[in-house]
Amino acid sequence: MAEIMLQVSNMWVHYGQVPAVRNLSLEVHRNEIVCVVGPNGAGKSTMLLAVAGALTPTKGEVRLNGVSVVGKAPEYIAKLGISLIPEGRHIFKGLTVEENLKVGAAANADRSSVENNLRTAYSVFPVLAERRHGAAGMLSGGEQQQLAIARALMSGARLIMIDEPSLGLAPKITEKVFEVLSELRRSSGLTLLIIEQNLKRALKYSDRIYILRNSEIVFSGRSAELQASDDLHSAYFGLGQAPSNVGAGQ
Amino acid sequence: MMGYFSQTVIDALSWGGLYALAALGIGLLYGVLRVINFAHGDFITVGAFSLIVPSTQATAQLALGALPAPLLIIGTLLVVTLVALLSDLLVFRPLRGATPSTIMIASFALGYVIQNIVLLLYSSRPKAVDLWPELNEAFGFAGLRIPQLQIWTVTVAALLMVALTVFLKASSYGIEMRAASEDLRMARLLGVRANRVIALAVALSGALAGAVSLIIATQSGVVSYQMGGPVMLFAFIGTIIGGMGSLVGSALGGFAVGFSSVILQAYLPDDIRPFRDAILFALVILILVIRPQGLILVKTMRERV
Ligand SMILES: Nc1ncnc2c1ncn2[C@@H]1O[C@H](COP(=O)(O)OP(=O)(O)OP(=O)(O)O)[C@@H](O)[C@H]1O
Ligand SMILES: [Mg+2]
Repeated sequence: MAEIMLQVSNMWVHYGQVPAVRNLSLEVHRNEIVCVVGPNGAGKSTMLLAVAGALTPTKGEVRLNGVSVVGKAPEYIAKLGISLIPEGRHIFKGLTVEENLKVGAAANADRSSVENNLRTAYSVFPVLAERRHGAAGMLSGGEQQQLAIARALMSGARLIMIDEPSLGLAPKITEKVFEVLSELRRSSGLTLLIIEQNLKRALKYSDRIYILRNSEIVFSGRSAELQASDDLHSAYFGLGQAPSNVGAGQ
Repeated sequence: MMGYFSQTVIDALSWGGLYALAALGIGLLYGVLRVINFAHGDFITVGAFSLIVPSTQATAQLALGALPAPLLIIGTLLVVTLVALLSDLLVFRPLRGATPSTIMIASFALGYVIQNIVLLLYSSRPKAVDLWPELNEAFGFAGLRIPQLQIWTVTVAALLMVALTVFLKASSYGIEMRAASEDLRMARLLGVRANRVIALAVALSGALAGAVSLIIATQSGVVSYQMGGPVMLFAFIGTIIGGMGSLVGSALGGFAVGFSSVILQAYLPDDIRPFRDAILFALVILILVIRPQGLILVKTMRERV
């Protein structure tokens, strides 16, 4: 197995007194696509925000390429080669497409690579090149998702975390987005941690999945072996007991 | 009659420009902190007092005010910028993550402290400052007599707004600042340093306050420790009717308030004139009832963490 890029160990995150993530452990290896699935309110977004530093874990450890980042500011973590596309994408609507991309380069210490990254972004997403001087708020949902991905790539991040890329997109567009992400993984050696509500789609595109329910990981395993597992469905839908093979599936 | 009208309009333009600058200073900080900085008026006071030597005597000795114009201007802007940055360091930065109402109250307190420091150093007596008397000479144009100072005020306000626009649109710091004003959390997730972008907004806001100090001090020829209050009030109203959070809105709102106050002053019947401000504020309330989001629609206003 390739080296571990992201390792979360026994992480807790609270909103006030209420835990939203409990004792969560998860790892992502270089060049993997890992999906986290789970029902609404399970704590998926909270987990990603805590990893990226927008929330501070109350307990536990988060390591990026071996470096601990717990309690660090988001702008510091962004400089370590990780980028979060939060739920709802958060495009800067009042900025142009190109300005959005330039803000994406803020974490990039190497300012000379910015022009190069811009060119790459436009060749991967031609529609962004066409609309480069238009207001980002005028883009369609699918185009905004492309912009969010391109913006995350501007920093030169090697690990991209995406919170529900399918949110608000038609199924056909969602498939396209996942195809682009798979292609980026193949061609540029990217590593991806993706939150996806649709279990089938998660299994189709990921190497491994985790299921998060009621603030806890209740299942994990390799996607290829899981297509027809009953344990998986009961874990996802919360029927009966949590399955016994909880833990990092290798 | 035509002459009176034109002169009123020029007067209105210059007050509009002045309040636009003050409102922009408030709007810049509101963008990144989501808080109205009520000490902004006192930043303006500080700039005006930096022109004279601290003393409690009735007649003022010029300090920065004695320097040649370019140095005087740079010096005043620098003093106010430094005071603003110091305020950020001592007040706003320690309160990062506090609720907006806490920070707002802290800005009130900050303004009060600044006022009292000025009071201690200079006493409560208003003092005459005669900076550029030649600017009060009128300038003849097409049969109109226009005080040069008003032309300067309008020109300076316009130039500063153009410069600010260029900075915000064309420089990478400016683009990051606009992104941070729209969605600070997202900007930080992309690597924009919150402390730096806020300090930059504070510094620009301070420099704008300094420009306003100079214009007011020149125009009125008097400085007093409470002089920032009324400017702050009008500019604050400008920011609100412009739709808080939009810089274009702040500038237009400030301009509208300054412009209409002069027009009302000139054309209200004599009996009603003393109630000018009441009428102005009634108009503001009316605007807010009809369009609570402000006259200028802000494209995005998001909850922030
Ligand atoms: N800012 C907040 N303050 C307080 N509680 C919150 C906040 N954000 C989320 N929560 C709560 O924390 C829990 C986890 O929320 P989270 O958004 O992480 O879930 P999620 O798995 O991403 O759900 P969804 O699928 O709806 O996006 C929920 O119970 C939610 O109500
Ligand atoms: Mg979520």
